[in-house]
Amino acid sequence: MTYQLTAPLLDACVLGVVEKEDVYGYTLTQRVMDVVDISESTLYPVLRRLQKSGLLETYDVPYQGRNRRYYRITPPGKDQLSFFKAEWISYKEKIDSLLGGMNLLTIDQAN
Amino acid sequence: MNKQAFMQELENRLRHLTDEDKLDALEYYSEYIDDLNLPPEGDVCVHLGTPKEVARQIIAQTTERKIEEQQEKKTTKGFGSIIWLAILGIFASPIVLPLAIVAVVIFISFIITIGSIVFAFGVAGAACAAAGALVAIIGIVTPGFAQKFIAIGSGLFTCGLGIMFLLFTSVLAKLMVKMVSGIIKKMAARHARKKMNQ
Repeated sequence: MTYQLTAPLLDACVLGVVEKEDVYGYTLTQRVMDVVDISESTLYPVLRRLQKSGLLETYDVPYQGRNRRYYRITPPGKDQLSFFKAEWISYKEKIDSLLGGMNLLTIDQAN
Repeated sequence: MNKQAFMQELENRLRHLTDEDKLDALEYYSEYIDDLNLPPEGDVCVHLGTPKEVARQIIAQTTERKIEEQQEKKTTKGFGSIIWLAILGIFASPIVLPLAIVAVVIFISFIITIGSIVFAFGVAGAACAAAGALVAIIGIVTPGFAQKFIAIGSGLFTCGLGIMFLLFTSVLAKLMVKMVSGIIKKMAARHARKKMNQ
């Protein structure tokens, strides 16, 4: 991956995934890893921080004789995600304006 | 490394965290490893990295969070635990570890060296004064006027020299103590500034 993922962007990605549906650590990690380049141990500290700042909450569900800890987004978490989304859109538009035309066809021809 | 060994080492490395922080991390990783569906002796580190690396991330994040919590509360309560965590963080990072050890060792050897020099000066001065006094006393009971004269004279001279040397040493010692405490104060101030800037 050419572009680096910063901590707030990673927070935003995690909140975005959890907003769609409650997830446990493993599936969340796999989902984020499918898209961006992180290691499998990256997300625990992120989840813990989001949980401690009240943006996510957890609940345990018994599964095959053990527990699975699910993460769920809280109302403040949803607010924070809206903020992250707005920030992302404005950032993306600014970068797009610097990069110029986004015509994929011309990029293909250039290659 | 299989799950059991991984979890054992991780628990050991997280032993200085609060029970709540430690248990949460251990439960998460125990669950995560189960979800990996590895064979019984499957290598966990292929997925997660070594327990040391995993612990480092957890400790770093916990420290960061505790500092933020302290800043919000604006109290110094729990300040000690932050320093403790910060030290753990420093020692958990592979690059800084040798540097930190070298810095600490250099500082300690510096203090020991200065202390030894001052101590040696003091002992030399005291020995000189004592020897001079002894020679002067012996001079009193020595037969012969010339001998008495030379022994008492040189004895008193040496004794005086020793006392002067002792005085010089005490001045030197005070100076050194001032210097070392100045260095420590400066380092503490810099550390505090760094913390505030975070």
